[in-house]
Amino acid sequence: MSFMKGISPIRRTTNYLNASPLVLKRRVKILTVNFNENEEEEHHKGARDFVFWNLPQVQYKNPNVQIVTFRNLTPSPFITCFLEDNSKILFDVDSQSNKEIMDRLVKTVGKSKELLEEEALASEAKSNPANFCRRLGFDRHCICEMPGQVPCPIMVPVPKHWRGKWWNQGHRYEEE
Amino acid sequence: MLKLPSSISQRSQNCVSLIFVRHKTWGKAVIPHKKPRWIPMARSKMFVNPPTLLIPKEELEHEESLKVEYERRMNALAKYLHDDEAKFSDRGEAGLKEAEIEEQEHRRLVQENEEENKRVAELRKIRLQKEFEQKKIQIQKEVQAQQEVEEERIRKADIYVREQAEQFANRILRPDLEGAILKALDNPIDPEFAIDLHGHI
Repeated sequence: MSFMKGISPIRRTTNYLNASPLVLKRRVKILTVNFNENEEEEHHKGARDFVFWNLPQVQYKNPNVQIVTFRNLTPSPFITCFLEDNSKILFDVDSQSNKEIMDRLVKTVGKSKELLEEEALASEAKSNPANFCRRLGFDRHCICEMPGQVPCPIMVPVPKHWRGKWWNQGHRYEEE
Repeated sequence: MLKLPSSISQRSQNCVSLIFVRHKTWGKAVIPHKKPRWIPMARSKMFVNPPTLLIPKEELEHEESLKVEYERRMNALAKYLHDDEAKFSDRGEAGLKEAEIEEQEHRRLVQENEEENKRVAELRKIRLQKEFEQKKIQIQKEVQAQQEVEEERIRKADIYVREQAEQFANRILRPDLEGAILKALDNPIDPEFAIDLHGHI
């Protein structure tokens, strides 16, 4: 099958990518992961697994966050989150599994479930089909295209006595 | 030269053009181009009745009442939305309070993370200490093994040297060479012999 490309192609499926619980808070702008690739260093295994299995999910859920990996630079693995107020949060993940790392990130810099549900409700309200303006992504551009409403003045001119220009120019005093 | 309407006679125009009229001289100057203010209204326009409104009064009153009602409702709605935004928007009171609560929560979580980092650092310290001890034992074992190998080598060398020294004592000197040859010829050693189970030839 042509879509099963690369190692563990399940990581490329939308079901897998959507399954991540980590949606970073708005204040988090950059996330960096430092780890080593040597298989003998067991205390880096959790970070390696996190980068391999969970990082695609995190990036999918947070497309506006820059995620960078640094390999074979430091003896201990760690994750750094850079916030919008130029501060940073350091996560020491020495000898922790990828699940523990994920839980820790969700607890510290992830949005809570309640907040995610509220945002989902708010986004549904914003996508109200009763709204107009195609420029903002709604289906209809104007009420003039609805049957039963006043047609668009481009196509059918509005009666003169409805126009402010006619009223103010004194035509209302003219005898017909 | 001022351009005056054609209804004014040429004589009047000439009189007007000779009289200086004050106007704006800097910026976007507007040269007077209408009838000067001291010229009276034209007689054809002087006694014209004001225009009468032909639309029925009831209709106008109805329109006015509708307009007033509409404006009341719109103003009420605008005020309501304004108050709602002031209270519940991100920049309103509720928004500021929520931001403060969120900031406190963030600080608490960062503090918890620092404690978790310390705990992991302690575990790492214990692990590194354990690895150090294991490595120390491993090195000691390797050194000991190497020492044993060296001692064995020296022991074997010592045995070899002693054997060679013993054999050196039984060496044949040049003056005794002929006698040793004759002795060897007289006592040949035959390696081909049979032995029984007890080792007797």
